[in-house]
Amino acid sequence: MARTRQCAMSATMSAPRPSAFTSSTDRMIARVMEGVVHVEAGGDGGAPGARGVRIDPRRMPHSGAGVVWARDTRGALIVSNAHVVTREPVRVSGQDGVAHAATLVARDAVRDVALLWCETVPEPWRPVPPPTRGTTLRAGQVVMAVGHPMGVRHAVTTGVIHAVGPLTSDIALPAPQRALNWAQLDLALAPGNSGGPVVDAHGHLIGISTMIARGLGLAIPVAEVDQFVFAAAGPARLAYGWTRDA
Amino acid sequence: MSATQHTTQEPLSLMAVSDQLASAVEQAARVVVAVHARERLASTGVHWRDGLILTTDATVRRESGIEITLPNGRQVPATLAGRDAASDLALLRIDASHGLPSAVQGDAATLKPGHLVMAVARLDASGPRVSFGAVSAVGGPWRTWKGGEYSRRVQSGLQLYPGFGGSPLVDAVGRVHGINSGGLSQQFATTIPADTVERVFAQLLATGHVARGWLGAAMQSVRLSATQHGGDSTRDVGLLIVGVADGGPAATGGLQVGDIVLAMDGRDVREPHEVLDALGMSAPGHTAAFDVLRGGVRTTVHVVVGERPRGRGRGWRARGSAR
Repeated sequence: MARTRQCAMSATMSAPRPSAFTSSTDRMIARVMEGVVHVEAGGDGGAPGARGVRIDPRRMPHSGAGVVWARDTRGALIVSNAHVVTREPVRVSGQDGVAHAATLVARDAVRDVALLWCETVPEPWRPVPPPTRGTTLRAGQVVMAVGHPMGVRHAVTTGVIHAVGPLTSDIALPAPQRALNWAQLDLALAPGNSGGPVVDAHGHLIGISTMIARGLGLAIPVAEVDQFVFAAAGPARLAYGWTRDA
Repeated sequence: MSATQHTTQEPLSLMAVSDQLASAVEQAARVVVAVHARERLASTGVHWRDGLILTTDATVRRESGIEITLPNGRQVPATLAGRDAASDLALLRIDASHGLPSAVQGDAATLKPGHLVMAVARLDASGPRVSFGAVSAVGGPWRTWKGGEYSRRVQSGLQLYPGFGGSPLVDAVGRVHGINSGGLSQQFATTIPADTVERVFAQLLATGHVARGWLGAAMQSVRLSATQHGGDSTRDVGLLIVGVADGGPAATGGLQVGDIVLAMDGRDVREPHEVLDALGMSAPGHTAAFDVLRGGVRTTVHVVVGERPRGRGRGWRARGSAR
């Protein structure tokens, strides 16, 4: 009897060691995913054109990802890229794929950020955990992007921080955008990642996936998104008491 | 949170791995400088020791007016102390009073496929830049298409972004296992292993270049007939001389087009690279004995090995390939 128990003990003790890494990472990623939505903007919202019907590219919807920024009982604030949310109507969907209508609150085409308001908030949606105050990004630290690269829903991509700051002059971007602060990532982003979160190893938000330049992934640092959201929705936030706490 | 705190409490956490990698970058970045020796984009250099900086030869496109951005952001002048296109290394000198630490070398022999590695670059005063991946293949000694002899083949699945030529290959504790060369292969980052870098460093410091033996003869393998090898069936292949450089060591020593080389310094040679390997090892000025078949008759020809002409390496260099 004692012998059997000992065997069972050693089995449970040897098993968790290799899996501790993956299970804690799994929990962290699962938590981040609760705050990631699919965003589709523009188009008429109907079925794609039938065979032989000429498709007007201006009527095709744009799609990408979005981050649940804050929520309360009345609705949720969602952040995405301005190049994803080019115009209304906007539809957002969580992991269950159910689409909800959202409205465009504010949009900054240079900083490439947009703020959405969604009045229906499904229970599983929780804001992506914000960074702990005072954390700085370090070159080489592990980061993960969650989005829908090439249409693959809620996919995770891993890499490291390449550098933080404005871009070097040889990258082909308009000067105002080059001069902005970017979290530059050695991480493979693809169309569909745009607007989704980039998190650190703790699962805390560090930026919004925005574009690819010379193979580098570029993300808007979370502090700058904070400023944008506060400017656009600060008064409302005070009135309604939105919370980013989980 | 410090790396040690994580490693004692949660040896397998992703946070610990992340902190460790970022600390390794901080450690390595203390010897990583930006090299301004071409138009537009800077490349990267590694402070090896005593104010001596190594970068890749292909990214040094001017020999004067070179500047270095130090890890503290200061920009200082540098002089070119030597260069070797074949191994793709160039040696620059700055005032040793800047007090940079020496590179902490790792042993490339300990690298295995799967080890996490990073390339750490610097392009300007804005801080280090990082590319991350894993070692994808490690092999034995090889000769690159530029003619350099490397102690082992080290290839990693990490992206060498523009300006990453000359960056160190850094392991997870910040040791430098070699210098990344952008021009050697397209799909993988190829690293000049640290022991090869050390050997070339010493030669560049002493003479400003790397002297390699040179014969000035083009050869190809040919099968020997029974009458040619005289019944010795183990000697069924030789090297047919198909061209000699005018005034080169082979021509001066008496080797002729049509000769079939059987052995060099008493060792059988069956492939042209075996002669190249022997030449790479021998210092210019050494007299090599060649056993040759000339018109079916065996003779010995003595050739004083010359020095491989320097200049721009072997063949073309695509402008975009140097990183």
